[in-house]
Amino acid sequence: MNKGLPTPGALLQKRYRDNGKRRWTDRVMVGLLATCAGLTVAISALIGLMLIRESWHFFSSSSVSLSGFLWGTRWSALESRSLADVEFGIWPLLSGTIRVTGIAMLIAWPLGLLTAIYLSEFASRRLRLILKPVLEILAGIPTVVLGYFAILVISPTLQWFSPSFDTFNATSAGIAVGILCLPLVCSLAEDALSAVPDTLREAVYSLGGTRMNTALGVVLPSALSGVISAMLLAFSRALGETMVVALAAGTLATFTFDPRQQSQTMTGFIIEMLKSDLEYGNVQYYSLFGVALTLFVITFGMTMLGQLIRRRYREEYQ
Amino acid sequence: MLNPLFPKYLLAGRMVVTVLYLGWLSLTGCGGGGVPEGELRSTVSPDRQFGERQVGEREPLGPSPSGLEWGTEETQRQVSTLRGNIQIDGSSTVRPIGEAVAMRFGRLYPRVRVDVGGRGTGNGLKRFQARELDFVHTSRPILPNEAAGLAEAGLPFLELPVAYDGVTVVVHPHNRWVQQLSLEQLRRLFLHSSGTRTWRDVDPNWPNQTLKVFAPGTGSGTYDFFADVLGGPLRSGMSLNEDDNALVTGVSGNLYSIGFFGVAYYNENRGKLRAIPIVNPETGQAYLPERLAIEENLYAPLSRPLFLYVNQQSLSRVEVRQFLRFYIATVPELASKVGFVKLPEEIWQAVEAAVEQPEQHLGSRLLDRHGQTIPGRFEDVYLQSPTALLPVELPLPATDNPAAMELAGEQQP
Repeated sequence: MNKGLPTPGALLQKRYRDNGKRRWTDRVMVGLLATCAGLTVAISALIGLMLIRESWHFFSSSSVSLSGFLWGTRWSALESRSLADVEFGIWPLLSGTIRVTGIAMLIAWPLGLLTAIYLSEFASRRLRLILKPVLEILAGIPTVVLGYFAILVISPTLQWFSPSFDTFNATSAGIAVGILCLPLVCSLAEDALSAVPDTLREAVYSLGGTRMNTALGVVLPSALSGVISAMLLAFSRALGETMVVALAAGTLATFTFDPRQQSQTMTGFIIEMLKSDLEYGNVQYYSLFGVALTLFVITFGMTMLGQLIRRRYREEYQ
Repeated sequence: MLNPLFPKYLLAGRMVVTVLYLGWLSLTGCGGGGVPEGELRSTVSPDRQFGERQVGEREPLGPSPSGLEWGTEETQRQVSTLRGNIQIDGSSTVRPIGEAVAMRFGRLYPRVRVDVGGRGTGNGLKRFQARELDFVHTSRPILPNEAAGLAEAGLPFLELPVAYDGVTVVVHPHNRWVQQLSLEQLRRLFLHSSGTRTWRDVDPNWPNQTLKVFAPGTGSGTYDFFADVLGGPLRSGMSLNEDDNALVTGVSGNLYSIGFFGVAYYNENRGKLRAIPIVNPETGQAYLPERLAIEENLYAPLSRPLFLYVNQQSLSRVEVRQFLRFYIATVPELASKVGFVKLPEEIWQAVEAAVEQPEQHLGSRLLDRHGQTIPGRFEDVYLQSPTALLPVELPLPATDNPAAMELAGEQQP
């Protein structure tokens, strides 16, 4: 040991001798940590199992066919109490979710990414100190508030531009969900961009590159895996968003690409079904688990895709 | 080191005295420290210690005065210390009445918490049967299978009509083409069998635009009532919502929309909506859902009674009894304030008699001995059944209703 430096107290007081007790404590600690990590896996697996078991009541019913569910274009589970009049085709709900999520991503992705690039590469330290907390405040707005914002501000504005918009429509819900996802994209992408080492930037400057060359030509491609996973995370968040769409997207499931119409989403339907008076145990009730399973599969697929992309584009710097 | 302004005596031996002084200040409250204890006690504050009673305060169990006297400026100060928790749910149509009563009740009984929900008649009756509620609001009379369910659960109930409502058909205020609607037109607008898709399908003079229909959800009593009056299942492709405020927002936001709900929500949103006069099939004249028209039964066939069902077992609790008396005493005034219409005098007397002696008026007057709905006008049926039947006593015939079958099966051996 170097005599010039004082030995840290922690090292002096500890005696790192291997004895039975220490090994035992070690094992307990590792076990505890592994349990914590395993718990998340177990919870996901249990949720999946629960969804499969409950939706089995739905798919095994004689009035539901899997092909009708997957390809049907009418969903009327809440429109009648008698099972004979009800059709279960997932596409109206799925298209509602796709419309709302698509519009949300049209807003959240470009705005979030541009803000992140500005914050990480161009903004002065002082400005960043102001802007980042403001973005975090935006992330802290309750979704109920955003839902009412959509109904009371966004919808009337859209109707002012074109009266063909319904009060409850996919666009206003999508814009609100986009606002909701914006801080998520922004802060995750900014983290990824800031993690790119300064040596890369200095190398570009030394070759005569401008700041714009640096940001778009070097930093962004280097951080691409982080940026893409930020986008996919926001996408999953928008898919699962419930409160905003329950308030602002309407309660009518429509199979259309028209963003001016009502569009009940999968999550919105689940909420309406829970609010309705249909009894626990009948097929219409169990249809909500069929919808939830579909949503789960889609979100799971998106996460897997995110993993793949992240591995493909990953660049490591020492 | 220390701030020179910092009082040094705080650090000295007098510190103990200081702490004691500050402690006394905080105990006597207000920080002013100069208010004698007696004076503090004499101010009326709802959050004072439980058990203390004000001079001149009304006894919590005292006789109930007439409703209009309650809640006036003078009596507001005399609040009760009665505590409790009252659960109400059911029809969102009746909810405004319940909320108005609960608000006024809260001034006199600030320690009784009253929750008024609006999940819909069907949902409310289900919670009622599960013993989660003390009261349930309904916008239609109890159905035979629901009464059988309550009988099976051993839950005697009291049935009290509280006001008349007129189901109001509303359109966007800029809608200029609909002046009045007949029953036949209502059928073409709302029934599934009509097959209409645009306004022009209903009437050739109306615009060729898609109908956007907003209606209460299938769990709502208003939905059932409307389907019942029009005589068939309502159309598919309507925007259903259990929340009447969402229906108001929906109809007021689109020129080609139409919807229906209880008159109270129309009265609250008169600027945003236009009510359509409905043609009375007997007189041939069209009437708006206004007080006189509903009272004289001219707003037919869309006027209807609203009900309050009471869990008899909850009446053993003082706060529930007090609330029920208060409800009945104030409802004629409060119901008309939110746009409903009070019931005729003879029905009201029967209601008051039922509240005075609940034990003798259990069950529904609108169901016969076999638990089936008695046909006829509500007023006639209600008054002609002199005492209501206990649902537990009903000898139920075998029906296709599983709850009734089970009950009948139990009684046979």
